[in-house]
Amino acid sequence: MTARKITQLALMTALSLALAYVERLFPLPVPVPGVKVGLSNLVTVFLLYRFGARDALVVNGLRVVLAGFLFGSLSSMLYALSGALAALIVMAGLKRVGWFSAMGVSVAGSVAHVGAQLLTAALITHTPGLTAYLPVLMVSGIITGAAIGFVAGALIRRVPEV
Amino acid sequence: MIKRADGLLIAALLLIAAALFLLNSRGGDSARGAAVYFEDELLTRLSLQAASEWTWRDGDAFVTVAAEAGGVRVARSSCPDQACVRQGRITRPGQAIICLPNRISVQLTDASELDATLY
Repeated sequence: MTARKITQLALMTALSLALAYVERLFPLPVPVPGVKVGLSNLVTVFLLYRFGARDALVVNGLRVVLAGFLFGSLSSMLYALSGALAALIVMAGLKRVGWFSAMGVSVAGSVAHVGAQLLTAALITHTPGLTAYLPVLMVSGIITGAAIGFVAGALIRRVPEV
Repeated sequence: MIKRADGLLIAALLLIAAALFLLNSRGGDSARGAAVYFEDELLTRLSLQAASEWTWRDGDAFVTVAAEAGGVRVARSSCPDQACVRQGRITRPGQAIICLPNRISVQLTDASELDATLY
């Protein structure tokens, strides 16, 4: 990895972390646990299209761990990692298929993230009743994923190659 | 650059969400009791027919569960994010409140799961 690439990815990681922090400043007034705007996904989707799945995975993983140490707990990190991994696999896969734009990819990633996180929580805490929240989380995932994906698409098209 | 497939994907996901929602709504409002778990270990059962409070403690950590007529909520908790407290009241069987940092979950059960209630 060149020094240039290390710098670029480090910047992306810092940006992703900053977005994760900003997101925490505005808790949504929805009484359902796990509803997030997912601002950091902006960086992930951008990286996916501009750098590739592997770099997106590294930056995303780093961000989740760092955010976990800074703002969260070890257990919250576990859930976040499961969501992030599922989202990346789904997004990379859909991007490969080629039928969807960045918006569709982001929506799929968002729903996958939220779904995987919920399922992991239900499994670990032995609360199958948690899956009742799946529909609400899916809808919020679709909405936020579409918004993030739309912005990411614009960025992918307009940010000049460095 | 939105593609047609994006719209189809979103529509499909919305349909799935709606289907899951309808499937879950069959439960009805007959919650009679609540069970509090630490991971998968049952700590206590609470009846929802009388107001009561119950607190789990472990060192400095605590979670206070308040049962009221027909529902249950987490009144106070030692967790940093307070998501469990903010969630408010749950009233239908199958619903649950989880405090992830404390690994406590409060689940609603319907009448058929309780043989007798002693308090």
